[in-house]
Amino acid sequence: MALSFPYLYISCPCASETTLPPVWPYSNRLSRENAEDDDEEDEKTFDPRNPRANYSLYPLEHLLFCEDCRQIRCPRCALEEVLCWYCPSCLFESPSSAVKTEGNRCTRNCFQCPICTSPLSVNALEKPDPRDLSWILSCPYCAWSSLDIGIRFDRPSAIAGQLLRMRNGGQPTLTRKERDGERDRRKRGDTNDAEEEDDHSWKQHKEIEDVDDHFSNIRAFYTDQLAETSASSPFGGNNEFGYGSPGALSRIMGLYSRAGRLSSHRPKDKIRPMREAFGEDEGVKLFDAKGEDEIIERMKSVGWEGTAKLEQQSWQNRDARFLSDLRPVPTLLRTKRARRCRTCRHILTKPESKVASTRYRIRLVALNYVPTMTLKPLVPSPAPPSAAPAVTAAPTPLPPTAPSINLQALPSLIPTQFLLTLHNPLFDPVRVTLATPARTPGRFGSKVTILCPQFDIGANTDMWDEALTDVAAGSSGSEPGPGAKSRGSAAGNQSQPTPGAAAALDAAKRARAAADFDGPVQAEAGKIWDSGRNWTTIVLEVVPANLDEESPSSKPNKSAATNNPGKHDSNPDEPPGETGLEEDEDVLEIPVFVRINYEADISSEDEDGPAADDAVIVRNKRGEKKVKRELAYWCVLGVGRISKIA
Amino acid sequence: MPPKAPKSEYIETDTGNKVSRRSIILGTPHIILGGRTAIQTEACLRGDLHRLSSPSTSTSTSAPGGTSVIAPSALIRPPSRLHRGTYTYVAQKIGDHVLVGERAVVEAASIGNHVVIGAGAVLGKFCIIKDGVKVLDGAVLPAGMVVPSGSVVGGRPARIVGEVGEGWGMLPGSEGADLRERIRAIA
Repeated sequence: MALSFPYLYISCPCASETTLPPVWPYSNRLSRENAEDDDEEDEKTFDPRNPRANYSLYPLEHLLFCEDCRQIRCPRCALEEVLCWYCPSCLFESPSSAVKTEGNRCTRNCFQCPICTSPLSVNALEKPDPRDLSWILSCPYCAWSSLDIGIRFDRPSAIAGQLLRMRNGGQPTLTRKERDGERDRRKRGDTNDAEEEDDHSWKQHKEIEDVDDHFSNIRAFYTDQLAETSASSPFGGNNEFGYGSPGALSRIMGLYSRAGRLSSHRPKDKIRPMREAFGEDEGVKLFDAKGEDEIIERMKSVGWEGTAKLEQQSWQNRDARFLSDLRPVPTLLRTKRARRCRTCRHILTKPESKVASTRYRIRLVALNYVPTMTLKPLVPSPAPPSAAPAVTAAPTPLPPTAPSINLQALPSLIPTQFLLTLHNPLFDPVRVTLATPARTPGRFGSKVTILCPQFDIGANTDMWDEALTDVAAGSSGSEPGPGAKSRGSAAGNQSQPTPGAAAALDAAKRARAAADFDGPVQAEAGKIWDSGRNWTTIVLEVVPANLDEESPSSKPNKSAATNNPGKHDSNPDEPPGETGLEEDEDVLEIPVFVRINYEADISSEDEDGPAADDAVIVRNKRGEKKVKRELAYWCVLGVGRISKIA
Repeated sequence: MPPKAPKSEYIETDTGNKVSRRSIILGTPHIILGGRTAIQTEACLRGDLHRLSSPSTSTSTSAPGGTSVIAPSALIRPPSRLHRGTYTYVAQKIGDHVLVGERAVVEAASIGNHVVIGAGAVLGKFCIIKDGVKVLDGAVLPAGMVVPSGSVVGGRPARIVGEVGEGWGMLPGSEGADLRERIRAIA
């Protein structure tokens, strides 16, 4: 499937827990100290092209959040617990006892087509005589029907039971009782007329033999064996030395003190080993060349079309080489599952156990804890008022209204600006620090500059506030950007001149010189673009790489890459600059490190003592006790595809 | 005489429905729009295919729920079958926050809330789509298929290929979520 841009994936921190948690190089003193020994490891930026990254990147809606660990949890670091089983087709719940005895398949009328897997429907077979009605299973997709295997049903309900009693072709199968009787009869007869068992009778026998017969034979044999040997078996059976016997406890208690006596008590000669199965009646299936010849003959007659595909064979629970051997596949049950945190075992999500309900009792999704990021191209239009409402409205990852920037074909080497909006779902104002490598990793590094790497986002307070600020924004929309009433702008500007900010400054200079922006929409370094109740928009400048020329910084690594057997198509003989693109190598993905600091209301757990290391209790200006929290993670912004220079 | 002001493409109703002038809507008495629903260019709603035995206007043949989007060139038509010798159409219900993709053909009996139907998907007759389902682009759902809530279906014929995340439909602006912004952007 084609990628739809822009997208955001968040890297679950659990991926790096086995090694070291990534720490932003410019993060606070505490983590700096911790990281001193392993600076090299820490200063590595997250590489979304690393094959390992696939296992840690998730879209935001798939992520959960553990309130006790204060950490993002992905499907990999959460445990699953089955709440109930249900059939996806009839939506009936199947009790766990039934799942254990009858398997994880629907035991009602739900079947899938053995040819194409689409759900089969029960249809009445029209007949001249209305009293003589019969029903068939038919596929609405590929027009297969159970008539193709010679099966029709007397009733439209309890199809599974009817199907169980019928072989392909319509003859009834033996019931278990009949099977047992048959086996006993053969067992008795075996001794008398063993010589009579010639090819003919064998073949007849073979015909009625199927998987169920085979299984019942094996089971009967081993039940017999257990019963026979249990008298002397130390662990099985119902004798006084079995696990379930009342004598077991005293025996185990006295295992060491009276071990010698015990073994002398039970003479060894009584222990008889279990005998292996021998013969058809005991479930041994011998290879038979005649059977194989038969299959070959059959293949000759039915041809290629009459044989089942490997995939179709795998859906069956018995050997089925030919289409006529296929049987309708009972629908697999599905489960409703709760998830727990793998670390602290707290429940993260718990849906209601009723099948029809889509509600959750507990649902701690990361959406409610992690700021959502949305990216939009900044349209370089000279008319700011028209662009402004689009900005002030809650951003959506919808195609931009102005088609001037095609995310599927970003022009190389032309500075392009994007609006990055962060929404704060928390009820406390947060300070966000963003960091990104100046050059995206990979062979073709694009230059990325976050024009305002540190800013604040307001709290997710009452909805009415937004309604009111929206009205205000409507009037102030004509002068967005640099002048925007920003708490964060000053902070981002005057705080220590981080390299990011410095780079941003000259990036802005370049932008001013090169681009055709007019004054009012000019993005300014160190200042936020716009902000609202619980969101802040900043500007991100990207210079997409030239796909014809590898970035110099990645060249030293290239030799390593070529030695890597995983990179199959980077040919060392190829001259640089003419190498073909690997799959999705033209996709511009920006790894961004996000750090969120905020002061939350103190919870009962925190009063007992900070649960997590990052929880520091402080007092704010009004003297309220607050707990300082920090959350940091890597995420990947998929911006678009870079087009080649024509 | 000044030239007549050009008509906008969409007609907006009191309940916030936006209906393209170039959409094809037949049998309007049989269609109930839930409000804040957008029907885009060349989308086709077949309200004329209603049950013949009850031609009263109260029978809703096709009812896209509130805040749904029917993308360009999609076709919505009620499912039909031969029942006791007569060919009848059965009422169809579409829930809230449903996005019907471009060129999709929908003959499902019911579609739940927060459903995304991909472009070019075909929903066979009498399909039942529960809440929070994603139908991938180009999927072909055989007639009568039931899709349980929270599944991702795709392929020809469609199979359940995955599950949507727990946060499906919660992130504004993401898939399966409130389509209000998208509808607002349509003009």
